[in-house]
Amino acid sequence: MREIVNEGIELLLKIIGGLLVISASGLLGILFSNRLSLRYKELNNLRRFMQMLETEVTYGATPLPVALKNTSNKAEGLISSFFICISNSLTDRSFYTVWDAWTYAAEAVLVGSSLQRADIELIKSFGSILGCSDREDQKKHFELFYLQLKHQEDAAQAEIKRSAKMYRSLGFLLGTAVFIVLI
Amino acid sequence: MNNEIKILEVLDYLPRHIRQMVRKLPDATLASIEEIRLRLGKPLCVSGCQLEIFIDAEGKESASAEKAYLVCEDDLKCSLQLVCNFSMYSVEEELRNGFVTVSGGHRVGVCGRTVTENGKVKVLKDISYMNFRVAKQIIGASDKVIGYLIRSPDCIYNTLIISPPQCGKTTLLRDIIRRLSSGEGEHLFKGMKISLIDERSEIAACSLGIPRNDVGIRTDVLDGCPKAEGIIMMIRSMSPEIIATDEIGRREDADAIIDAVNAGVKVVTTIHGSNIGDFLKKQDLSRIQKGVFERYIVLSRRDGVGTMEAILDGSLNTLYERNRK
Amino acid sequence: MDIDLIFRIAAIGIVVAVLNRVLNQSGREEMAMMTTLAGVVVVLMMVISLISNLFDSVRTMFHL
Repeated sequence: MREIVNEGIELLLKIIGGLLVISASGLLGILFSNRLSLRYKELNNLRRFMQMLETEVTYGATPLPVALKNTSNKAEGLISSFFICISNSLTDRSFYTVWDAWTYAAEAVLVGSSLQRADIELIKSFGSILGCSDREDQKKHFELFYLQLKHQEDAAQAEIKRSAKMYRSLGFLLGTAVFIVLI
Repeated sequence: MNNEIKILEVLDYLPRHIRQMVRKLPDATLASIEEIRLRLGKPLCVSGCQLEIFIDAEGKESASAEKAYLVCEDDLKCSLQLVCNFSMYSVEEELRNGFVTVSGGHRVGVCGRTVTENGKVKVLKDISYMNFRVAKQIIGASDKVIGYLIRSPDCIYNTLIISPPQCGKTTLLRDIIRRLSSGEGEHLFKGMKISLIDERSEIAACSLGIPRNDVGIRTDVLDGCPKAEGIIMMIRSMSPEIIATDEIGRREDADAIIDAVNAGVKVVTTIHGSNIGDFLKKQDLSRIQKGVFERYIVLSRRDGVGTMEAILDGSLNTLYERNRK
Repeated sequence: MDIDLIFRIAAIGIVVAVLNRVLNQSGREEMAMMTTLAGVVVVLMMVISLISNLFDSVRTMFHL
């Protein structure tokens, strides 16, 4: 009688352990999958908020620290923090050029996010021309940046199509495999 | 406005090490600084009333130009970024005119290589020379003249101030506006509504819409607007009794002044020149050379900034002359 | 002889097959091949003691 109970408990523990492993692995897979869709969303957001910044710059001729602050208030999440970081470091005179402040903020705010290295390098390169020429020229640079961003967005979208489902399935399957091997 | 604070405002636009150098100067010197000049590859120089010194790297007055701190390219680049608030596009119009007005009403003259298009300056690049002019408000600058401008407790004479550069014309105009707006107990002047068209943000030194200088309690300020359009706008919208503006010179300015006078509004303004003859020679202002202004004030620097050379009435009779007292 | 073992090998086989399909579909064919290989290796490892026993028994049976 006792043996049957013990065996029952053993089986239960095995099942619980197994479920834990499978769900942990599966969640990891979902996490990776979500990173991809988050990257796409962030790139999309970035493009939208850069358009707001462009309006402030080319129509209002607002100085950058103020323009960045205003856009940051209208924006949300990662991009909002990015803009406000630049605005603050310029106002505090922590940096003496826009490029330095922009690069610093990119490294500090964007690196840990779902954006890839290539995206961040692209964003960094924009900081070298911001605020350095007249309105017409700035407008042209903004247009170019949108094109480049759209390119990255499309790549992100393709990546999602290709890999999102895969990561999810992979997570659960690998969990199951580990479960089977270890039991 | 505390003049010590004014110089600190200007120092904010200099690179950190230069700022520290200038700060180390004795307080008396600091208070009398009128200009700080950055010239690429040349000594750092500050000047003021009867004062011109080179500064060395420790922030002390340098005995000779050789030992002074030489301005480098990074200094100018950094300064330029600070002056245009990291946004060249926001001051492109002002750069084209050769100077930028920064918060506090200080004028920063900028000089370098110009790129022209159709004979007009399109872009100013490779900035190698910068001149920071400290704006100071002197309350009481108009003490000696105000009596000549008041016709009755509620009316003044149309006034033109003629002055060469750097003689305190803007300071005088500012104080006249302040006095006429707030009222003057001594002459029983009750104060009139003034509309100030501050094209270069120097007189009221508006920052975020608030005048940093005291321009009087009945003054409406139109900041950064071209004079001709501004005058017409203010006449229509603010129903002024006096229109005040600085440095007229173009035909459109003269036309706008005629409009103001015809609308029954009094005018107080200034012009570049060293005597009444300079004003009368200007072709573009022919419309206002007769029958508009009733008082002419001529300034110079002979006894220091703001020396009153002469005051004339509408028919060019001398009411006051410096030598005669 | 464990029935358990047979079920386990079968389960691994199924998982490897599904992984293979998923990876092939998303274009990662090299990875698919690697997982198949890994599956074979894992199964071999699970069975290695039994195989060793089998060889021992065959050896003793024929040398006796």
